[in-house]
Amino acid sequence: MTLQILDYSDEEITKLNLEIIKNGYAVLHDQKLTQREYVEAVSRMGECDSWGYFMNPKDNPEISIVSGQLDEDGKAIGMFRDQELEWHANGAGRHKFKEICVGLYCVEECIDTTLSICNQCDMFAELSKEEQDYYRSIDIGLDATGVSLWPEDSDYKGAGEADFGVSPDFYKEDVDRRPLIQKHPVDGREYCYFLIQYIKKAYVGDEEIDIDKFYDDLWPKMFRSKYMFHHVFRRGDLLFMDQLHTIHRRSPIKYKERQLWRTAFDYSNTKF
Amino acid sequence: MTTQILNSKKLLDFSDKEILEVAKEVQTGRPVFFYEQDFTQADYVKVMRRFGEPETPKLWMNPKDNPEIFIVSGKKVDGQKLGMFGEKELGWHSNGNSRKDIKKILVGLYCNKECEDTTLSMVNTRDVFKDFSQEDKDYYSNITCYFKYKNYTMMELEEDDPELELMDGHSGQIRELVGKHPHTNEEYIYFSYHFIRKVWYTPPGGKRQVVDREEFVDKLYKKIMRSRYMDHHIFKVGDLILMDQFASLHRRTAINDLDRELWRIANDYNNIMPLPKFYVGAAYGT
Repeated sequence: MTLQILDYSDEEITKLNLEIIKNGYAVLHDQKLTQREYVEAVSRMGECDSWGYFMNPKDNPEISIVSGQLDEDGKAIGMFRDQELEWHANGAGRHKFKEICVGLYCVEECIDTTLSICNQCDMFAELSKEEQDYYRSIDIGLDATGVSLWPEDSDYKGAGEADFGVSPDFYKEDVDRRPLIQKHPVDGREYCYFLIQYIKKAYVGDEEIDIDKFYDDLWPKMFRSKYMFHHVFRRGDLLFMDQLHTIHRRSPIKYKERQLWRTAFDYSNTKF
Repeated sequence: MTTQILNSKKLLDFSDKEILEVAKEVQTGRPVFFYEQDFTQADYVKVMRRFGEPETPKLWMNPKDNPEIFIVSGKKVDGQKLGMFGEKELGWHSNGNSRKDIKKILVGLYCNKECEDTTLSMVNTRDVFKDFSQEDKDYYSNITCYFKYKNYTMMELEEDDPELELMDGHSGQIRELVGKHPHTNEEYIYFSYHFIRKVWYTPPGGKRQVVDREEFVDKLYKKIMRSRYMDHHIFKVGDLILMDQFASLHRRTAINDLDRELWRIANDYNNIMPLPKFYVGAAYGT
């Protein structure tokens, strides 16, 4: 019998979180969780966000249903629909946010859909000293306004994401930039926050640099196979990923009933 | 968890000791990954020959200068396939499932052109068997199966596809479901179920009995196809995966970008790891 996360000791919760932060992700298999139990489990790690959007069950608003399925009226029952999702992370578009860990629990599987995770921390660690110093000198301006996670030619009728608040005003942002390279609040390792699409401006000091050149330079350094981990969800899989050390994408969904339960939380309840 | 040993180094520069270490790692049933290898076809053949002898059937998908390589591609030119396996999903299988005497049990897949929506999944059938209860081990060790390719199961081939003639041409095999790996002597479960046509159970000291094939496959599928035994990979140019064909099975999702191209080589391990004497001349796993 696989050890269930609900039965983890405090030490095991800490160990799990350290694994997530060290590798960028961790996967538990054969977990049997109700929505309430899932929220209970992740609440032992930290405080969950809870927005009250269309994809949050009323009794467990900490959970976001991730699904490509439509209801009888053609409306999405969950977020992210069935198309490819481009590289992103939770909190993309914000300069400050707390929920730096995401949990994904698989309720219904699609064996043709793959989640890819790219480690931005390992990538930075392997750069030359000269490159590291250069990227440390860069600030980035993030803004989710107008950003779509779906490819340009996607049909996303019925999606509820259009109602999401994404602007700097909505998030009451009091800054308009942050360093491209920052230290993780738990392990102190530096990561390169390459939030593609969301980075609208980049600066060296006060001087704005050419954003296209910025992307062209970093893209091939970041999206290399050696920094990636791929996962195909099976029922009962519970995957956690750190949202500062990693960025992720998803291939299109073939079996529309695929359903994940997503949570986003901080590590504040973990005794490091 | 994916095994990644010495993967930043170019395989061409590996010592014999390192190649042996890689071979042993592959034989545990976990795929071994190498990145940014920048192979020419000749380099790739040279590297794989250090492990063992590749098969060279000299078919339409084998380049003339490097017939050890099988082009894996869904692309067609003037209606003719450039490579093998087409563009559709490939169900769980391993090399040689329909053949009588499988000796090429190391498969290399090198990515020449990528498709970011196509995933290769691998399941470790050696670890699955290790984790079985003693009761399951005893039962499945007494199972014999008849394996032969059947179209529209593991893959879909059109009637005029030369690959269909090739697949249909294999004689099939009757073998025990549980085999012992020729190099490690460890047990693995040979569950390429798309190829399984008949199943028999022989109780100790008893007579062979026919087993319902559908029920057998359904039950065993649930025990084997579990996330904990799987690895997944999306190829980028320069990636090389090495997989053992007894200790693991693999499947592939459909291809979106038909330019995707892999170079496949099927080897034995006998150059780096000669077969134990008791296996020489014997068909593996039977």
